[in-house]
Amino acid sequence: MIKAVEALVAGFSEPDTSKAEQTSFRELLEMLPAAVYTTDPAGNITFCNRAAIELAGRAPDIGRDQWCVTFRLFRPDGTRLPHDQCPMAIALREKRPVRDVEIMAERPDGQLVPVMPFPTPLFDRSGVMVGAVNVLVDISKLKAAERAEARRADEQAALYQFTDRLYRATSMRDAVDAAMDAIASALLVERASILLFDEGGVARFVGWRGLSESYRAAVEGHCPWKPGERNAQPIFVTDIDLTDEAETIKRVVRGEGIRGLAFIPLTANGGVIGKFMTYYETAHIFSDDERALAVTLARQLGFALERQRIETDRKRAEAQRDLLVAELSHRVKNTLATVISIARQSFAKGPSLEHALKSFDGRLRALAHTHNRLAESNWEGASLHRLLANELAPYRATDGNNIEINGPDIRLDPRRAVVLGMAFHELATNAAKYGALSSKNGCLAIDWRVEGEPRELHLDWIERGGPAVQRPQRSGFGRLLLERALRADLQGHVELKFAPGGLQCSITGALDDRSSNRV
Amino acid sequence: MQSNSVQPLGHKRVLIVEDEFLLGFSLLEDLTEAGADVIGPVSTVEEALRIVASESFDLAVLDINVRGEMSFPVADELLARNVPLIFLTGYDADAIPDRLQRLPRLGKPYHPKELASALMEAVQS
Repeated sequence: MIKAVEALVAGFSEPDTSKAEQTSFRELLEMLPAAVYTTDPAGNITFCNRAAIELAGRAPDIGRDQWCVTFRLFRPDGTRLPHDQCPMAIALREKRPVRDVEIMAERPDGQLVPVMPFPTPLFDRSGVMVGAVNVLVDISKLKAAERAEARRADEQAALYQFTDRLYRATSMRDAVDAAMDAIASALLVERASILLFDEGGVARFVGWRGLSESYRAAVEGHCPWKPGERNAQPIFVTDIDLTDEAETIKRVVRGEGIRGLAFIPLTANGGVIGKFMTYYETAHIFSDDERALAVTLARQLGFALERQRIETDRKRAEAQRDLLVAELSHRVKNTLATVISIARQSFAKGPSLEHALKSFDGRLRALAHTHNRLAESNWEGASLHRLLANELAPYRATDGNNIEINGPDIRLDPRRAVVLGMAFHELATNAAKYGALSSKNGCLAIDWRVEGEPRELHLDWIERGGPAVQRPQRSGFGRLLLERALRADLQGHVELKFAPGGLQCSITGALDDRSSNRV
Repeated sequence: MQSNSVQPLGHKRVLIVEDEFLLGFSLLEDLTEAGADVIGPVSTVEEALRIVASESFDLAVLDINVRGEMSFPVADELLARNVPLIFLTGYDADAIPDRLQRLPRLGKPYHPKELASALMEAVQS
């Protein structure tokens, strides 16, 4: 088209062109959609079409304006371009067309229009320059398209980098840091934040940029969605002042210098786990691009956080399992060693094999009982009352009056439960064989209390009404267990009294360890 | 062990540190039958350290994990006094620090014969 205009103008500038012809050329130029103007050899504007006036935002003063129809010119770098150095001035001075130059034309109203001029000098048949014609092409749409393309390329780069960093992330921290960078570079915001629900379901800041501590403290916990909520949609607030938020919230937000803001839900398996936010100093209209980009970022971050959470859970479960395996192995070995011990004690000391087998069987059952009680509580402990009741159940008279068990119900840790369980078994079988539980008139009272800090157990086992007690000749397993092992293990006192009215045993021992212990 | 067998540990003073009372009890019996004068079983590291500081021994048997505490400080004190010792280990043999790796150990549950030979080795080394 530029060629066509040049040819047209070249024709009309011929000296032998008639006035009528010249008039029709001008009419033709007027009708062209392209901005066109002409000058004489000195650069004085001789003609300017309507499109040129529209582009320049002003009508030139024909006969006075030189070189340009536009108000002021700038180079693309923003520096002023004096009219006598404009492409048209160069074309006339150097008698050559000027091409491939971009300039910024300022309209009188201040608006800047990117323009590509095509100034071309015109010569008559004898080669004398008679003037010049300029076609101004408005390249603002082209420029906008170029900017949009560059912007999209930046967004793509930001997204690509984000994906790459998320892929490499080895912790939630890494993922959050990558997301903060991606939000800033993809959405071109200086202020943003990420909040995640903690275990109590409260939204907590895990990443932020450009937010004061007081603002974070004021809005932490505030979230439009509940943890796990489904179908959460992003919320874009163009201007906080135009919302029906409470005035107190508006004041906090405005106080931080925020007018526009966006809430983008982060989801995992469809449920909300947190949100990310972007903030703008002025009211902000969110473009479709921005909205789509925000949702894409949120989706990526949500996936990454979920992956990190699964990974963390897996590691935790693994550590837990290793610990349990080690505990189990320890417990099994100790239990085996204990069983071997009981066997040796039972078989070495028993008067007959039959007797020994019976003792061994009883002791193993007592140990198994205690283990059952402990297993029921996940090896956290066993009730003292329950241990005694279990052990003494076979010896209770039908009316139940021969045995009294009195004391506050306390939970014994596994080690103490095992030790005391075995001690009670020895005391109970002894009572059933030789003591108060071997006769109809005998009775057994067990009383205990807990005193002090750290807690100390005081337990009395008192038999009455049984056969006359005789001090045993030799130290059996039961006595050794009570007098030596139990005393050492509970770091307390165990006193056995072979009183004529019945056996009495008092046990004193600490209920708490100073350090944590394993069983 | 039979009471009429030779008494390899005759009149030796042996410290037992073991928190599982029945295991300590078995050790006590085994060592007593072998002729030893047994001190213990002691069931805490604190108590063991106190006794080591105030009494003298010919030999010691240490459980590694005593109520959740490692008995290595007791081993260090005994070594400083040139008292031979053996470790009794449950699941925690790999927890033994390098400086104590050369000491003999006995896995739980142990056979009385293993105990006797481990003790003899410790006394002679």
